[in-house]
Amino acid sequence: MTGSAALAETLRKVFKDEKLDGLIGYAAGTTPLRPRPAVFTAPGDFDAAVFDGFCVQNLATYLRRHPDRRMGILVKGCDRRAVTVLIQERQVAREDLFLIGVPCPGMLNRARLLTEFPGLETGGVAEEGDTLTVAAADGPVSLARADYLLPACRACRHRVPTDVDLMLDAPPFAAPEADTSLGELTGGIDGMERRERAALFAEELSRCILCYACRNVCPFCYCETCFTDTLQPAWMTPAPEPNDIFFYHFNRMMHMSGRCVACGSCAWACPEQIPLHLLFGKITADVAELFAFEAGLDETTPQPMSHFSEDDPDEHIG
Amino acid sequence: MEPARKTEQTPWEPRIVAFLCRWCSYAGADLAGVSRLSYPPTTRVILVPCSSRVNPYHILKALMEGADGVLVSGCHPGDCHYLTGNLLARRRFILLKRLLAYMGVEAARVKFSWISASEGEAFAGLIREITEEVRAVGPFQGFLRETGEDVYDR
Repeated sequence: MTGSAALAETLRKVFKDEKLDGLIGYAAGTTPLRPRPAVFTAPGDFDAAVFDGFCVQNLATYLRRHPDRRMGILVKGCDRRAVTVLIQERQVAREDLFLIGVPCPGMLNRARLLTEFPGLETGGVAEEGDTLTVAAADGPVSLARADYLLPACRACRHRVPTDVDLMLDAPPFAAPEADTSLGELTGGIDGMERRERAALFAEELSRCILCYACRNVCPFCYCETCFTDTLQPAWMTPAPEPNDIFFYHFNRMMHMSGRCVACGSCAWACPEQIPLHLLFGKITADVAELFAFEAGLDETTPQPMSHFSEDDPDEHIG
Repeated sequence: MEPARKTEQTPWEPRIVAFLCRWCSYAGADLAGVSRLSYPPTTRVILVPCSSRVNPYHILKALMEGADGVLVSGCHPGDCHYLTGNLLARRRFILLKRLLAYMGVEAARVKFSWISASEGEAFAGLIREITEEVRAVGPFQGFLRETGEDVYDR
């Protein structure tokens, strides 16, 4: 489906028929295996459109940048749920949007493929059914797609977007549905000794350079002034010092509670490959366990952090 | 706040920042004082309008700036001056407490409690309890410091 004429034609037709001001999709990127988000604004733009197993980035992030325009957007399951959350938070209006759904085949772990097959270029991974054929230096290698899914995608139970205006055909490649859950992904850490957990996060987060790529890529990090940027009060010093790194990641997760759709864009964007799924997976699993809530499934259920129940758990009070 | 450091002259004592809601817990602390109850002088009280005024920023910042423990206390459920503030705070705090523990911070460092204006005795008991709990885990060294090696010197 990468750069297929059929995809370009379908999107072009929607763009014209629906008289859209712009359509947010993916185009080929300039770095290997990293398609870039693209806003198509003219019928001639669509020849660049692609959709493959590396289109990880959540496109809902870009909706707020086009206010008062009728925008089309290509949505996987997680993008669709992010749109729902943005509608709930009144950041975008449903009637301004034309949602083009694509059943998600499960997204691939670019970093791992590039580590195992150095020098891999865009187009070096052919996707077919549940297998990948990688153009490695010493000949093609066949891999099971399921083994190379991103952690968030391995745990995803909502691949097919719902309530879209147009549903595209499923791409001719896909991995089997979820083989794990966010709770399972993080459960191993819950079972560790405290010191082991502390050492794990100290080690992983020591690589953080506070570049804020994870914040910038997130559909829900849309505050005009982020707590990281305020000087009065200065919550953080701008240097990547352990306390500040912890403060940043911890508070970002608190802000994500009840909103995160576990799309994994933050982990994908991280230049240091910090396993951020361990953080958003934990907060998402906790919200599901404590408040029986999953973000982005339904516009009418109030978000758990703006709401309470008299029967809420109080195991932590004492 | 000056960081608490163990020196030969003065043995380390826990430093606890207590965020007390002005309607219940602060009055409870006041009652403990007026009743001349004795409890360890380890807390620095910060008056807040409501327990839901306390943001995760405040709790983490207190620890980053030298506190060894943090207490947040408000009105019992149903008694909130603003009707539902403490119930909203309760949701936030359970996630906060679980995520802190998950990331390897000792559970005893952050404590939540409901103390009413008539519970001076309970307040004194709570401070005694939290002081001992924090004393048991020792001085707070900062977040992300517990590695096998100093990863920040690489």
